[in-house]
Amino acid sequence: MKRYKFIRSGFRPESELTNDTDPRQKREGMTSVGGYLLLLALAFCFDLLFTMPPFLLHFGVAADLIYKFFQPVCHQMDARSFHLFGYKLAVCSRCASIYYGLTFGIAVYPFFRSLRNVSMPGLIYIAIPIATLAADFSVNFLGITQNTFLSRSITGGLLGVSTAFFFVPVWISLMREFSQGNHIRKKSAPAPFGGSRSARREFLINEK
Amino acid sequence: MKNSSTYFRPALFAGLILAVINFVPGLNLVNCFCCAGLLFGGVLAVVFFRMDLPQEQQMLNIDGFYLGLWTGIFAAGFETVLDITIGPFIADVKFRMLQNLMKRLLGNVQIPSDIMDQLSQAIAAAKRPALLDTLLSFFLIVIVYSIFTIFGALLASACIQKRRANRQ
Repeated sequence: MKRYKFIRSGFRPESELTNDTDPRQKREGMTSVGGYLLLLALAFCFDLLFTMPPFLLHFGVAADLIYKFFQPVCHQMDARSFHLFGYKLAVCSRCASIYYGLTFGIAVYPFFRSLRNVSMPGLIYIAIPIATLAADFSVNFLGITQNTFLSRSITGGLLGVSTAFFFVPVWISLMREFSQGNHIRKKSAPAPFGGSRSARREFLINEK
Repeated sequence: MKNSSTYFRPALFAGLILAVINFVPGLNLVNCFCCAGLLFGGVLAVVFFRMDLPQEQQMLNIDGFYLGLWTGIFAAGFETVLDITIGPFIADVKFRMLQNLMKRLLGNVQIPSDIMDQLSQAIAAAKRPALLDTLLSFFLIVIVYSIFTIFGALLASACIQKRRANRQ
């Protein structure tokens, strides 16, 4: 029977596991996990922020600032928003589904792809959710038919989940670039390339 | 040779375009589609930066991050200036457009009176901008714009890197 073990990159067969002895690989692995956890925490906080107003209002605390914060990015129409305790969330149902989907996608990402893998999936995987969401938006906007809460939530959620699979590798790659840059700066006395940003960029590109 | 000022020029142009998109009634409807306008601002900054970058130089995700951040900050600044200077004169046009949009989105359903009241209050506030409100909304849109422009710029820079890698 195949035995599975939970490692940084998710559940993997024990037979596929290798020992990380290369310090550079080890460092990269640590950065990937740290970066991933940071992204998950940020996404969770963002979700918490727009979900919080109904709870605050329920307990008699003002939430105007949170509604104002999300005003530039969402119409916040009452008829098109999820409600809790009779109060609407700070974003509409479509936006909420996208953000919840994104967080869900980030959370399940390690079970499908290794955190060490920073290559993006094919663009078709994001083109399809965008097309379905655009179709759902257009039928309403052009007056062909009315979309529903369910259609908006499903198309939004799909887009959110698929976006996560594009964004996590990009984010991890960004974290690696940041950590490499900091590492170079700390240990470079005198700086091997005069401390200039352009030289550091070149160094990072060569490292890649 | 690239330095920090290299980010400013593309971010400045992209921020200006983004601010105009978000300010002009009708054009700002693009944000109804998942904040496409804001994401587009980040993408635009990356495209401008790529145009300036010599062909042999590769783009990094760090570039995308800083470009997105600066674009968000510049866009928020430009939009605040537009809101103060031109905003009061086009407040009525915005009100009518919002009314039409709501009618279209809600179909045959009557626009609730509380929403109409909120809209009227918002338009009245836009006609007489208060310093404290303007400052508060500036800080809020700096944060929210930066989040979305960084998101767009990071995805755009990753796509450019991927396309370049595929070519090689």
